[in-house]
This record gives sequence, structure tokens and C-alpha cells, in this order.
Amino acid sequence: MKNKIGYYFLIPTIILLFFTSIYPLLYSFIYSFFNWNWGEQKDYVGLQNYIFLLTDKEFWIVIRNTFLFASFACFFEVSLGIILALYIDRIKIGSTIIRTILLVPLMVSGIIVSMMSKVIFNNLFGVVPFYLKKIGLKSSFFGSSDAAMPTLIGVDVWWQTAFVFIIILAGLQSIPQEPIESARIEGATEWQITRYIRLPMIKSLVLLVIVFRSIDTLKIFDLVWGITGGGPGISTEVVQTYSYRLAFGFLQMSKSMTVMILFSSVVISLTFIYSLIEKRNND
Amino acid sequence: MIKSYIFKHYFPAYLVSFIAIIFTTLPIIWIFFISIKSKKDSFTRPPKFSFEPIIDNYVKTINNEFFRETFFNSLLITAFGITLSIVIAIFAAYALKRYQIRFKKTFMHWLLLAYMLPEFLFVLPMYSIYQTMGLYDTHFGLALMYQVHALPFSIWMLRSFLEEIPKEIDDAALIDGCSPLQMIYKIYIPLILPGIVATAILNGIWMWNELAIAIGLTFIEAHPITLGVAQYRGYASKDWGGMTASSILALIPMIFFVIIAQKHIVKGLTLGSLKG
Amino acid sequence: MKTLASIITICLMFTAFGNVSAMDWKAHSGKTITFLMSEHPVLKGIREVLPQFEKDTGIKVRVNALTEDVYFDKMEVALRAGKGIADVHFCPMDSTAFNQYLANLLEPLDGYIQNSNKTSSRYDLGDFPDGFLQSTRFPGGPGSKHYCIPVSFESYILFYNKNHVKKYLGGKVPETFDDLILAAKKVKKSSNGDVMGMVVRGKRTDTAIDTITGVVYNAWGERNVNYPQNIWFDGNWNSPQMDHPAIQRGLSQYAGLMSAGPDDVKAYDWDEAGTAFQKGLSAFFVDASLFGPWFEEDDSPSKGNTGYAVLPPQVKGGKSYTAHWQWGLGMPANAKEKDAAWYFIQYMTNKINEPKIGSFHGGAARMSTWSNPTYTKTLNPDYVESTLESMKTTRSSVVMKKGWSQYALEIVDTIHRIHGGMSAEKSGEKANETFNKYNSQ
Repeated sequence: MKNKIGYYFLIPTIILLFFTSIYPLLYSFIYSFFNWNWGEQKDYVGLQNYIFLLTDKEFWIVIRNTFLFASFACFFEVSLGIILALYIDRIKIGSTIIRTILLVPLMVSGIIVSMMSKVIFNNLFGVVPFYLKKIGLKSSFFGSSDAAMPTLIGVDVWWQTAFVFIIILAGLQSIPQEPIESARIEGATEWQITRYIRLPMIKSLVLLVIVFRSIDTLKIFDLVWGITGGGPGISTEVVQTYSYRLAFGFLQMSKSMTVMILFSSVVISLTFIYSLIEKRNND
Repeated sequence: MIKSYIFKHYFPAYLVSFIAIIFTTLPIIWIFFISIKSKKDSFTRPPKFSFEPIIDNYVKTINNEFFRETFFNSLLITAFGITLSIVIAIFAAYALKRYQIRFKKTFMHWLLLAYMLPEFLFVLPMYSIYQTMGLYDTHFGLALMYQVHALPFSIWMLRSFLEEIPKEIDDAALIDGCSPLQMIYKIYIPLILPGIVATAILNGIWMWNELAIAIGLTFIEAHPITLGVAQYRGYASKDWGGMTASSILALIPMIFFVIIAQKHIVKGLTLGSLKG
Repeated sequence: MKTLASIITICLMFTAFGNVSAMDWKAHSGKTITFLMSEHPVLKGIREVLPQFEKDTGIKVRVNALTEDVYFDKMEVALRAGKGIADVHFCPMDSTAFNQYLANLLEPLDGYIQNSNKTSSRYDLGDFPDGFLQSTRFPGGPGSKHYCIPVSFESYILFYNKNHVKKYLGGKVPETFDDLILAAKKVKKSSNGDVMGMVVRGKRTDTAIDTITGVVYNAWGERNVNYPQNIWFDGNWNSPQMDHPAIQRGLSQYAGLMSAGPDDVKAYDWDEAGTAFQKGLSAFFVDASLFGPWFEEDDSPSKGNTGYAVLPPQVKGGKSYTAHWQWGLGMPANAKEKDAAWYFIQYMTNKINEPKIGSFHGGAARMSTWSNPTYTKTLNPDYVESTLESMKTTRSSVVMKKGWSQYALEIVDTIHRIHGGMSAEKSGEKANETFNKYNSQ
């Protein structure tokens, strides 16, 4: 009886989240079986959209691009973030200022990062291509279908490494110092301390960061839409930009929703795998 | 002996910090330079490092009615969004902590999914649902949609902060016989105020910088500042002065936040993750 | 009797002169209309004229301007919204508008044009060349109605940087198309890559199709262009002919232009290409005539240094051909203030204001405007001459097919394959296959 109040307090949340997540999810799911084009046709077509996408070369290129981007970006962000955190952990004087400055990229909106990249990497007048060309690195960056994706990955690394850095740093600073001190007295090197004491202690944080970054990079939209629009060609088209183009460019609403349903199953599976690993870690 | 140890220990750390700071700030500084360059100075080969700074680009951008509108739209939307998320999340967080909820685990999983799932999964249907309901292209509509991300996050954060409160205070409050509403208002909110501030700030930053949901659910009236800056992608992308000035202007509130609330932000990000 | 006679005489006088037209410009004073538009030189012109419009009609105008790619997306939203969002919109007069017509999203304008209460007797629709009006009429053929009014046109011409041509080519502008490609490559080589020989749209987007059509028409020559299929199909939709020898030639030549351009030409849309030419980084530029006024702007390095010519013909002394494309002003079928919207469309496209707006984009659609000094004196005379010359042999690039943008993208891909080394014949055959695949969907 007393617990009833608890349920009451949850009602606004449940209503809001139902409206903004469950309802659209069901809507998407149902319409993925139609051929709705925001116009005259809205017929039931069963699995046609799914079959079309799963056998479409273009769809698989988009999937490949998305996973390529996510794996590389995630890998670099997590590694660089951890390395950075390990070093900054040593600093006592000035660490607040350093942390504050390094936090700034995270505060920049994706579209602003995009505008900055367009200007800095502009092939005619950009400062980066100009100087890289002087040292012999000829690249068209966002203009070449080979270099566009790596450049995008680089931009995301600049943007989001701070996220990993901040969390890992906090974790490092909250682990008990006694084992470290005793190890140091016993003559362990810094690297040994890191490898055998620090890293194992923040294992679950590392896992958390990997999960967050991997899902966030899979969902990437802002940078791609803002900088390359999916090009050159289709070399940087990722799932969310592809879905956007299908819906708002070609008005194929149903097909677009099908893409999102397929993609969401991947995200759900990843989240599920994470909770399994986390559970195993805790046991 | 000790001196060389200190050197070997601290020097690499400061070196790495220095390099990281350079990489982090250089692009922003360069963009700032371009925003204060005149037209003929910004499109040069090689890029110019010494020039006469002008503030014309900023004046032009601030005078641009469309830009001003998007700036204020963002203020409105973010204010709505933060208020909504904190108010609703406080109750939910309290309920989760204080009461036995039967479906707690499922509920938490659902929060996680709502937070993690890709935006367009929700935005595409909402695009047509909102049109029918008249919420399309409204500030409130956008703030409402932002809850799918902000609510789970706020609930986690506020719950973590609530759990830090020692059990004695809980018990004391119970004995006192306050109603739940009074307890929240009189006891818990004041206690976790820094946590609420941290959550509000982090939510605000996310909403201010959001793009995908805004593209899908606004047309012109409720265009937030992210879309205002995005204007420079097309025909106007020749206007580097406008592009960079508007970017810096959109950035200023956030930088302001970081400097003032840096401690809160860090605490917020890390607390949420440490407690999971 | 006498009074009656006077009254009748006076009435007759009025109808005879008809000058105090039944149409009253202030009839909709106090109303507000929304104009959905993309950032475009035409908008610059309209903005100049807008205050006078608001004064003359008492109608307030909300201009909603979006960046071009967002505009294309939002235009579709606006047309399909339950409650009207826009009263007038910028109408791309090609298969985009055709598809909108098919979905009943556009308001037919004949009722307004022919109504003397709504349209001034001086409007003179016939002042627009019929070739231009043809693209505004759907479904095409007798009984078709007009769905927008042309507000600008562009034909595809050659721009050249006089200084670079003097320096690297001895001042000689190439006289055949193949020579143009060779000359551009020569400039690129002689300048060690500092100056691009040629700059064109190389980006993979269906919107490049009109420029491409211009170059291909130049190879198509005097053969007939039949609509709605245009040259890409042989008589009916089920017979694509992307491997036709003339098309092979045209597409190869476009690929040749790309090869004479920068290494990352595939990142260039009209914006990047135009900017590069405007800043003096390229000797040649092939694209829409309406970029001319941009190159003559006061703070443009290209001002006074730009030469204009029709696309070089296939053989020396031969005839040059090109394509044209148009923007128009249209009225969404769900517009709330239709009569006031028509006043806006009429005003901006009439004989008085078109020259004023035209001086911002150099692509006026009315014949009379081209002999109107208000318009011509603001433009570079070489530009006027070349554009008028191109208008003699230009044909519409429009293909009226549902879902045409997919096919257009495939044509761009065909060129990219040729640019990457595939033979034009093979690439054309592949395109035919793809067209057939799209047909069967």
C-alpha cells in the first residue's frame, strides 16, 4: 500500500517515455511492413522492405562504412583516452586547468565541429592540406573517397576522446592508493603498476566506456551530415544518414523505418552483450 | 636519485598534457582567427598568420535576424527541456530509491534502451505523429522529444546522488512523518542540489548541441542554433567569416559553462558511470 | 435619355480603355503570405524588390530561406503538410515539379492568369519563350495547365579566365570541345598543378544532371530531342539507350573535363567549382550561365577577367548546342492565401520587376527583359552576348519521369566509371541494365 506512491511517482516518466520511445518504436515496426512513401501509397507489403535491404549492395556498403567508422573511432578514442588519463593522473599541480581545457571539445556541437573541419581541411584554402602538402602528404581529405572516412574518424577522435579521458581519469583517481604504494616500495615499475593494478581495477569502467563509445559511433550523424553528406560517392554514408536520406530525400518512409529497425536490433544486441559481460565481471 | 625519479615520472605527464592541449585548442583558435579576418585575408594561400583583425563578421552575425532567432529558440527549448527532465526525474529517482518497485529491473533496462537506441528510430514516426498533433516545429514539441535521452540520463544521475545520502537521514525523515512530497522538497532536493545542478548542466549541453532530432522535427519556427549554424553548409559556405563567427558565438555559452561548472560536469559524468 | 446615353458612353469608355483594369493591386492588403525559398541569387533580387511589393500591395511577406539541400527536403514537407506552410515556393521546373504535380501538390495557375480580376492585362504570358513555358505545363500536351511561372533560367556555357588563357594558351580560346579538354590539360601541366585547367561539378549527386545534359546535347547535335523521354531513352521508357554513340561521346567528354580538373574533382559541387574559378584558380569552368553575375561582383578576383563563350562545337566552325534548366515560382495546393500568393508571383515575374531581379542572377526568362537596359546594363556585355547565343540552340534538359533522380544519379555514375577508366560503351551498357532494373521496381 505504501508502495503505491512509488508507482504514482513513476507515472509521468512512464507516460513520457512511452510516448517518445515505445509508441514510435511500434509505429516504425508496423510501417516497416508497408510501402509508405509519404504520398499516395500505403500498402501492406510484408517482408519486402527487409528482403530488399538485406540483398541490396548499397545497404551493405552503408553497414560496412558504419562499422568501419565505429571500430576505428572507438579503438582510437578508448586507447588514447586511457593513455591520456594515465599520464594526467600523475599530475597534481595544474591538473584542474588541464582537465578543463581538455574537456572543451566535448562541449562543441557536432555541427560546429563539422563547420570547423570543412574550413580547416578545405582543399583549396584550408590550413591542414596546405602544410601537409608541403611535407609531402598529398591527400584530398574529404574530397577523396579513400581519405574521407579516415579524416572523419580523425575528427571524431578529436571530438570525443575527452569523454573516455574524463571517465577513466575519475576512475583512476578513486582507486585505493595503498596497493600502488606498496608495489612501488617493492620496486615495481610504473608500467607494471599500471598493468597489474590500475587497469584491472578500472576494468568495468573501461567496459562501460567501450560500450558508450561503440554505440555512439555507430549512431554517428552530425559529422557525416555536416561535412560530407555521405560522399564522395557513398564512401562515408552511414546508417543514420542513409535513413535520413531515404526518408526526407527520397520520401521512402517505410524503407527508412526498416533500416532503423534492423539497425536497432544491432544496438539492442550490443547492449545485451554488455550486460552479460558486466554480470560475469561482477560474479 | 629522487630528482631523476621525479623527472622521469612527471616530465612525460606534462609533455603529454602539453601536446594534448595544443591539439585540442589549435583548431578552435584557428577558427577564431578566421572569424576575425577580413574576406581577403581568410582565403589566402598560404594561410595568413598576421593580419588586421575585424569584428565585422560578429556584428553581421549578431544582426542577422535568423541567427538571433535560432539562438533564442535554443534558449527556450533547452530551458523547457531541462525543467521537464529534472522535475520528472526527481520523482522517478526518489521512487526507485525509496520504494519497492516490482518491475524495477525491466524499467531500468528500458531506460537504457531509450537512451541508447538511434535517434531516427524515434524521429521518423514522430515526424508524422507530431504533424497530426500539431507539435511539429514547436519548441515544446522538441523539448518533449529530447526527454527520450534526457530522462533516462537524469534518472540515473539523480538516483546515484540520492544513494549517496546516508541511511540515517532517510530514517530520520521517516520517523518525522513527512509526506513523500515534503520529504523530496524539504530534505532531498537541498541535499543533492549540486547533483541536480550537474545533471541540469549536462542535459543543457546535450540539448544545446543536438542536431538529428531537431532536423527531423522542426521546419523553421523552432530551428535551434545547431540548424542556424548548419545554414552555412550550402551556398553560404563561401562565407567563412559568417560560418566561423556563428560557430564561435554558438560555442560561447558552452565554454562559459565548462569554466564555471567544470567541477560539476566532471562529477556528473563520472558519478553516473561509476554507479552505472 | 441624354443621361442614359452619357452613362452608357462613359461605361463604354471604361471598357474600351480597360486600363483601369478590373484588377486591384491592393485587393489583398493586410494579408500575410509565406515564401519558401532556397539561398539563391534570385532571392537576392527578390529581397531588393520586396519592400516595394509590400508597399504596392499591402501584403506582408515572410521569407523562409534555407540552404539548398535542406530546401529540397523541406519543400517536400511543406507541400505535403496537412495545414499549409508556404503560400509561394521556389519551384525546380523538372521531374521534381512533375512528380509533385502527379501527387496533386501544386496549384494550377491558369485560373489566376486568365482572370482579369486577378491578373493585370499587361502581364503578357506570351513574352516568355514557349520553350520555357513548356516545362511549366503538366502533364504536357494539349489541355495541360501551367503550374509555375519561370523566374530564372540557366543555360550551360563556358567561362574562361582571360589571364590564364593568355599566359598558357597564347590567348586562344579552344575552338572545338576536344581541343578544350586538351587545352585544359595543358594548362594544368604547364602550371605544375598550381592552376587547374578545368573545374566542373564532379560530385556524385543527381543535381549535376543538367550541366551534364548540356555537354551531352553538344555531342547530340542537331538530332531531335523528344520529350518526355529526352535523349536517354529511344522512344519509350523501356528502351534506354545510354550506349548510343552520341551519348557515349558526350559522357566521355564530360569525363574528360573532369580529368583536366583537380585530383579531388569528385568533391566539387557547383559551389566549390564556382568558387575555385572565381578566385582565379582555374582557367576554365563549364556550368550554368547564371554564375556570370557572381563572377562580376565587386570583390571578386574574377571581375573584369572573365570571358564567356558557348560550349565549343564538335568540329571547328560547327554549331554549338546546349541545354537549359529553369527555376520558377509555384503555389502549393495547400497554400492558405492563394490569391495573395498569386499577386506575389505575378509581381515578381512581370515586365517591370523581372529586369530588376534579373540583374542579380543574369538569367531572365522574358524575351522583353533581354532588350531592357535596366537589366542588360548591369551585366557584362560578353556575358549577355554568349547567353543570348546559347539561347538560340538550347533545349530543355527536363525528363518527366516518376523517380527520375535515381536514373539521373546513374548517369552521373556512368560518367564516373568512364572517368575511372571504363570504356564508354561498357559503362553505357551497364547504365542500360540499371535503368531496366529501376523500371521494373
